[in-house]
Amino acid sequence: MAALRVLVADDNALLRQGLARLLEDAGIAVVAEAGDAEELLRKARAHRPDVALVDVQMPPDGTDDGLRAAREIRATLPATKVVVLSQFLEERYALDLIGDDASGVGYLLKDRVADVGALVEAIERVAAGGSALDPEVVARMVGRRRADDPLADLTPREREVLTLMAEGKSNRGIAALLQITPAAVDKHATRVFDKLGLGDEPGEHRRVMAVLTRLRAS
Amino acid sequence: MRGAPPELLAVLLDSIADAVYVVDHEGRVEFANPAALELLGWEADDLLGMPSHATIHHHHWDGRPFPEADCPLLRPRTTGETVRAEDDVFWRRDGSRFRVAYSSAPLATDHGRGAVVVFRDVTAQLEAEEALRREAVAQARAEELHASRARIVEAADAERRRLVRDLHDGAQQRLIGILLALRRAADRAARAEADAEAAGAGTAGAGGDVAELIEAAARETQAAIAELRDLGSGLHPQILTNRGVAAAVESLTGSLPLVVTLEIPERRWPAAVEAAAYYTIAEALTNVVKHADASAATVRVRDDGGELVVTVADDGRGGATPAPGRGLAGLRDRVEALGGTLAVGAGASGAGADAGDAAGAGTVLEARLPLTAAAAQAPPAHGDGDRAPG
Repeated sequence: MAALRVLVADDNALLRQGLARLLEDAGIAVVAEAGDAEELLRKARAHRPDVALVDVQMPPDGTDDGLRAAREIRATLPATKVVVLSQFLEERYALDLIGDDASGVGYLLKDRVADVGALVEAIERVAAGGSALDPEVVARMVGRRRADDPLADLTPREREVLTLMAEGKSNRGIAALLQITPAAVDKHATRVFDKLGLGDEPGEHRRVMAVLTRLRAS
Repeated sequence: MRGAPPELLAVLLDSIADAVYVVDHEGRVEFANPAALELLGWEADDLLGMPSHATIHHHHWDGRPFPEADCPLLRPRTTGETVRAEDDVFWRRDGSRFRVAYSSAPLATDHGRGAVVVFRDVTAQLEAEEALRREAVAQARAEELHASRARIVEAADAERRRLVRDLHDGAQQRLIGILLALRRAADRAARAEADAEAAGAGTAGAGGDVAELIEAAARETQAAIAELRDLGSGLHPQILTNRGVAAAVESLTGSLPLVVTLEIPERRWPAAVEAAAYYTIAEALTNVVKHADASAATVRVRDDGGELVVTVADDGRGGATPAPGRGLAGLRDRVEALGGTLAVGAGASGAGADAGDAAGAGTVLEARLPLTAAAAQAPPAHGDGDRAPG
């Protein structure tokens, strides 16, 4: 398999270079680096990387320029998937980024760089058209108190499965994490979908979208 | 005057509203018209022949004696000039006083040069003017106070935004840099360990210790990053600047241990109003969690054109209005700085509680934030370089 081609965008040069070296050590080809949103868009168009790794807050405005650029890449460069690295634990940013399509997109807290294995796994998942939502963001969404909570009927195991599904993990990935068989994951997933009143969705990113929409609406 | 018939003069002096009297060369009252007698409270028979200064002009308003030698009223007799005053005092027969404006002009009498004095009671007029002036001064002071309160709040907000930004660009980034370095160090250590094992060196275990130490350092660093993230978002959530009240409150309520229903329009308002609305909601919800023993709360924000009405209602104990602690006092300052009002009261049937049950009626906090005034007076919303997207 050819190495994944990745663009790294962060206004902090030390961090950007550190991240690039970390990824290269892990066998990923960093084809370009960008220090602001404009450079990011220009280099994304020029290099057509498999994945753009983007910091939320960057010049020129220093607000959420990176996030907006990431959305533009998703809208205009379908071959380039996007993983946003953020220092902000905000559902809203993640949902804004995802829009109505959870394929080929990720929103991770920046300190995930500490677990390079998980980071690379998330980047690969997104590159393959899946999704990667930060566990803390998902935990915040799942943990939110609701009137007539549809999650109240879930068993702890089903809740775990739901959480991992929302993070974008595949059945195989969930099975490995929970140390159960993929068939068992399937059964849990079906029951979760029943209890939440969702139809079974083919494909993991469709499944993520359905779960997020349900969590959002309630 | 010289040409006017004496009868006309007499009729004129009798009927005009202005008070007129005449003093002779010795300063004695020789004539006074009815308006003058009325104002001074004298009968003509008693006043005529009296020394005018000693009778009606003997003291200043504040009670200091007024020496006759200094009296400008009598000066026309000796100098021939005409003297005017806008604010002097005359004393009535009964000892009361009133404020006068007058002019005194020289007048030839049978025995030498005297003076004719025309005067008006200007007490009411001057007092009204002074009251207006005092009011204007008070108003200006109040406005200045109001503006300086608004400036203080705005400066504090700008400082918070700057702090959060510095945290983000500084300490938080550095910690992530450290995390990256630790990760690479751990990889090196692992590789060195593997090489050593492959070489058959009997030092296994040392590399494992290093890996563990690095792992511990990484965990601590991550905890510090999480703490700084919470600190920053508590100081001034970046999402409030970037996305507004609805998104910021949604984020705030995500981890609260109670059901919070949000009715907040997805709209932007002036930064000072958004900050006041956000901190009002945050403080109110903190109080609900701490004191109200509530299971649910409702947050409503309504833009009625003139003002933003923010209400936070809970279904808790109610009755006992949350102690107006420092948080609430600070909130009141913030709200009033914008010309708004803050009220805390018992809820009627807020947050879905059954009406009629006083104990379960909960508490309602309501802030009203004027939109027009704030929009007009708000300084450039993000003077420190922050910018809110359209």
